[in-house]
Amino acid sequence: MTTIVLTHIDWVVIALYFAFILGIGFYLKRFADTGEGFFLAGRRNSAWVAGLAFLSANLGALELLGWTGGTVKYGMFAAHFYWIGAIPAMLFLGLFMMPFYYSSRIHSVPGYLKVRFDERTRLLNAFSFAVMTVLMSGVNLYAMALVLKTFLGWDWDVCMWVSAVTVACYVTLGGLLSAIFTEIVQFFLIWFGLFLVAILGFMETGGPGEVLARLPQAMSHLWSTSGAPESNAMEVTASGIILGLGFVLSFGYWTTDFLVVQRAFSSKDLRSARLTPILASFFKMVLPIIVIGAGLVAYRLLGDPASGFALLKNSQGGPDYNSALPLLIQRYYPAGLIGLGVTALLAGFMAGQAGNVTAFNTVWTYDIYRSIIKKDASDAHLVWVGRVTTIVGILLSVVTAYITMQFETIMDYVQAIFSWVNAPLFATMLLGMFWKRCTSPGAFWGLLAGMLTSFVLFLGLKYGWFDPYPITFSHAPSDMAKNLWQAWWAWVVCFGVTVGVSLATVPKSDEELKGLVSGLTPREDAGHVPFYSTPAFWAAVALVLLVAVNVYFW
Amino acid sequence: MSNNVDGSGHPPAKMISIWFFVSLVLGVYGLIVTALGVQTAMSGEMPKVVLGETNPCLWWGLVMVSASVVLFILDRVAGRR
Repeated sequence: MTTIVLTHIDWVVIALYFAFILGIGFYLKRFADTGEGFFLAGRRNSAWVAGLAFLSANLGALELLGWTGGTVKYGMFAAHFYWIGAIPAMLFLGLFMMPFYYSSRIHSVPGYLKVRFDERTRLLNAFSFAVMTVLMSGVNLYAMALVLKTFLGWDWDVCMWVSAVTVACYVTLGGLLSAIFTEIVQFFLIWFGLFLVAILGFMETGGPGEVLARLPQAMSHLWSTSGAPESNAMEVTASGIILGLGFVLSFGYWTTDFLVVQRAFSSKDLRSARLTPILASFFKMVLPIIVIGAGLVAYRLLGDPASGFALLKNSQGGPDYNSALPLLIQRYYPAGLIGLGVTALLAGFMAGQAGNVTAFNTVWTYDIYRSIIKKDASDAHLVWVGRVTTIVGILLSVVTAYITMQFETIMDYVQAIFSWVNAPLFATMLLGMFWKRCTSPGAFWGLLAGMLTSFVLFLGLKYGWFDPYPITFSHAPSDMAKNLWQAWWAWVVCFGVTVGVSLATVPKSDEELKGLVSGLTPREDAGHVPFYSTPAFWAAVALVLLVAVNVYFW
Repeated sequence: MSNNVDGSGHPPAKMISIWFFVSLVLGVYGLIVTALGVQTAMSGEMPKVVLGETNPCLWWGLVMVSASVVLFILDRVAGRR
């Protein structure tokens, strides 16, 4: 393919975005001069603001490119990652877990592990989370540079440094508040910059009905072809989707990953914090209109030789599915709109990086620095550490990006790290919040055992150390199936070890667990709130919609 | 950090609401894209992309400007409450 050519007006559109987010950073600096202001955006946000930021922190450009390509590869099965693989977990977080997180006035998820269990459990999670976020941030940066080099012919170094310095500037200045503001702007830019791809695509191909009708059976349904791995394009069974994705990976990510949960912590009160993931679930449910829509259009065009549409080749000579979205932008967008589409992707990349960095600076400052380096640090000192950590985190991301450039296989490992860190952590959190008998030694050894299980399974499946059948119920599982089952077993081991060790050790007293565990936490009286403003009502509406879309595409 | 929000995402004291910024971005971009669409319509030379004859800059730019205006009005109304 020839690279996408930008006109002067496209450059103006892109430059305006950079000027705008830097301006936001400078403007918000005055509101981020205390610990709570810098790390938690002053706990001042409404549920709408926190909810959009909650979703946008997850809505990076990697996700947009990856799942548009994923739809070309897996068809409607990709929608599982937006529906069963996200919504139940988001609702569970809002309804059942947020009261413990929010009411304990902690700064981070590892902070909950400290007050519920002990310092070593917090440190185990804090260190693993810090490593994961820096790696993810670096891989994001590398992926951005790769996309911009491939499609726009831009220079690697310029791409990485310009975006890294921009993110460093606005996060160092405005902290989480800057990140949240830019995430919300990014959310709207993605809709207005990329939704048009799906609209024009459906206009060309005859509409969603026509496109769906031409999909093969293995790609056009969500559940009716999930009885056996060979019946669907993703090569997974319904049990793999439900247990691995819908339960462990999804709950592990959406309920414990501080990157997203931090946005809910920034809410102004408990009701807003509980509504944060619930409102976000509605926006998550409609995202497939862009992502799945564009992917289906690309699939349809690939099946029509007269369309002239073809994906790029990857380094192994196979189709590069991630190229689908940029190629569609090139196909449909004239000058001006190209600039808008590229800005939407850039905004996605930079917001993803900023999300990782804000989570990293909080965990480093509160859970590592204040915990083991300077226990008596003042609030002003912690803000200073947070700003320095932001810059250090960005520099580490750039180093990671350059290393990834040399060793591309790091990408495979980074995806797997989610299973190492988040899947077992969900078992720890679940037992910690809902079983008062769960002890500190149980949590620590369970978490460690779960993380090691995930790590060993990853290596074993990757290098063929053992027959995959007992783990994945398939002799030739796809990478996706391996990921899902690996997460499930890590969760099971963590759960089992935590319960076993807890039963053999002494639990904390009820007094110590007040406000941290179900049954020992008094319900907060939010005053009279009409039923249509309650988290439970909106969660019920979201659940009904979730069931409806799954039945429709059954 | 004395200026708290009023419950609608509108910090009433000094901080400008996020919705104003969103409205501003959509408005500026919408106007640029619409202007390109108008220029295209006046020149009569449609862009050489698939469906370029529908002049997407024109109608999509107007959609963006409309969204910007709606957000701006909602922000003002909610800010006054």
